[in-house]
Amino acid sequence: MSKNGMKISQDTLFSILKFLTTFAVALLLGAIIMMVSGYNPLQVYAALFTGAFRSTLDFGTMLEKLGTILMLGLAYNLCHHVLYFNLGLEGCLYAGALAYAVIGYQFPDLSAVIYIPLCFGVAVIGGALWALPPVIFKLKYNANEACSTLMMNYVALNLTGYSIYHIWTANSYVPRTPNLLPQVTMPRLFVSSRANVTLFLAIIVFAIMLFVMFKTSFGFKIRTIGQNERFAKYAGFNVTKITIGIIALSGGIAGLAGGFEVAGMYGGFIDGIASGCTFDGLLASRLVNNNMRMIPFSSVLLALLRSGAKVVERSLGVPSAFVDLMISILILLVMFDKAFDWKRILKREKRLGAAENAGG
Amino acid sequence: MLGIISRVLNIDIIHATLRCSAPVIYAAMACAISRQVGLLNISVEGTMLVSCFSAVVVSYYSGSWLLAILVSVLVGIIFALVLATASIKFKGNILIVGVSLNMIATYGTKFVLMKVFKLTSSFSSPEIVSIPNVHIVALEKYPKLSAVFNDFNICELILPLVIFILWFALYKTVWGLRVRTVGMNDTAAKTSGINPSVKKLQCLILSGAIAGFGGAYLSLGYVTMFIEKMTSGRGYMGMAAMNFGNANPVTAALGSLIFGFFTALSARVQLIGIPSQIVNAVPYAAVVIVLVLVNRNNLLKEKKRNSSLLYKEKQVVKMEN
Repeated sequence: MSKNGMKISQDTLFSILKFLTTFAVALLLGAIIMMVSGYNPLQVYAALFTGAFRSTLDFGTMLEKLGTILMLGLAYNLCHHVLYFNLGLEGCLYAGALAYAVIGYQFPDLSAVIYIPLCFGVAVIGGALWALPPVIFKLKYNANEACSTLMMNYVALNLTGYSIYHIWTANSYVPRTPNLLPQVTMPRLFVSSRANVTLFLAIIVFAIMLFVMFKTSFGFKIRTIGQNERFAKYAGFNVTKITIGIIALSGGIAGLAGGFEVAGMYGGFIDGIASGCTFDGLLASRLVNNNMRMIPFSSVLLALLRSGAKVVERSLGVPSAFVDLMISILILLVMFDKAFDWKRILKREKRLGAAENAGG
Repeated sequence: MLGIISRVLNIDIIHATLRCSAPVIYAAMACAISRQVGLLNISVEGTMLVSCFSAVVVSYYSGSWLLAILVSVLVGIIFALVLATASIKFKGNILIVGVSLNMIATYGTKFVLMKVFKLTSSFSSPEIVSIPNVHIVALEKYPKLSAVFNDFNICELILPLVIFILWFALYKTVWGLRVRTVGMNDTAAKTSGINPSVKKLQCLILSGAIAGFGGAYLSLGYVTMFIEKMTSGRGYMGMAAMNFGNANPVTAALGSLIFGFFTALSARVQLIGIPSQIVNAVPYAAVVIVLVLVNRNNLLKEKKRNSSLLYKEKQVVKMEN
């Protein structure tokens, strides 16, 4: 990652060490919970981490989760760069997914070349529009975004639920939108699972954003705001405009993730299509200390855990809520990470030692 | 049309509004006390949820609602201690810590429910002892008064007292003055010899205890059962309500009545055939709208104050010249 090639700096080493310690403590806490509730932790962990490689189905489950987590991690990360605590990605995802699903069954005669970009475009716009009100309220009236974005999730959940019951409904037993037309349905990778080509699209989007963030002046502006907002204002960047743009972009990415889910996995909008996905994004970004370049690694880890959760539930009877619980404990521990900061701890010991020598 | 309105907006809705507001008011009190010391306690939601669960479990096994409340308050304090350690000692972002605590609450209760009680989604039993309601026989002679004021839960009746005590502690005691000083300016408080960390810890513990109490009330007084995610955003509603009057407990409580009204209303308009999803979305949309209006109001007030200060200063300068 660094400019001098293979040489890993001391800081990177310490941050990896910090992460490993955090992860180990989370595993330990999980093991204690498991032992209390009568499972064999070693057996469960083995299944949890290798579960994704046991069958094509489970590997596919991992891949399908990976795309969504990667996109939402990216979306959350962008918000973090402009100091915006966005918990509303789920609402944006619903908005984008619904937009894709609704447009995706309207025009049977349209050719795929126009139709696919149209659908994805609508998904992006849907997500971006849904992300806008809270950020405008924050910038204009100083309304706390954590609260308003969370509420927007509930509103989105209920409104999409209403529209698939009453407006764009397939009149099926499970409420959903009518099936997508074949032009806009994304092909699957394997026969037995829902993993599909949208994963590659997600990776492309991620690569583009990485380029924008680190190789263009626009990206530089964004990073400057994140590091020092006052300096950015002083340097003459239009912070308000950039903030709104980035939040809309992040909402758009979440909406696109929703479009991917509909296009590749479900073939229509289903109620509660990806509940709790905001927190996956938050975790994917937070786990690597909001370093955008590292998000793919944390996303793979999370996707592994999520698909492993299904295996563990199936083969050992551990409720999947357990894995969710462990993941939330992991986020909490990441916030305690200063306790596992070996560099600081070692330094302090050195200093204490020096002080003793001086005093002695 | 008039018939429909009178079916929705009759005298019963006053009673329903007051009842539906009570859990939100507890959440608002918990948020307000932490806001006064400058911290945004988003984990009130999760704290209430875990307290709901522990209250139901303790009441089920021991048969005593008093013990259940006590345990819930303790659980609330434990949650607050975790939040305080992560945010004050280790300087983690309090919002993210709060969110992760909320997730732990959601999935932890779900896991225990599945593992210990072999149940999914809800837990109710006749053996759960609820917090009793107060029925005043003397009021029965006046049906209108009785409809409004009778059959309140003990926890609802002590609410005015809780609000008053909090208001008194914050605005009429030395402790409250110091707490508010920390909330307004951390550094200034430090220079005047107040330890901000201690004040923050005290307020968070108090906040956790109130949220715990509110949780116990929600699962043993408001209803007598535990449902997954039963707090359903009440903690966040409390967070929005607390913005009324800059976290003053009295105005925050009055603000909570708005959400109580919408919750009560949404239960009623469902009866006249408005789709449930639209109805369910209303209280949450109300939170966003209220949040905007209140913050706008606060901002305008502040602007006005600042400009009048400038005006006064100018006058002083003129007089001196």
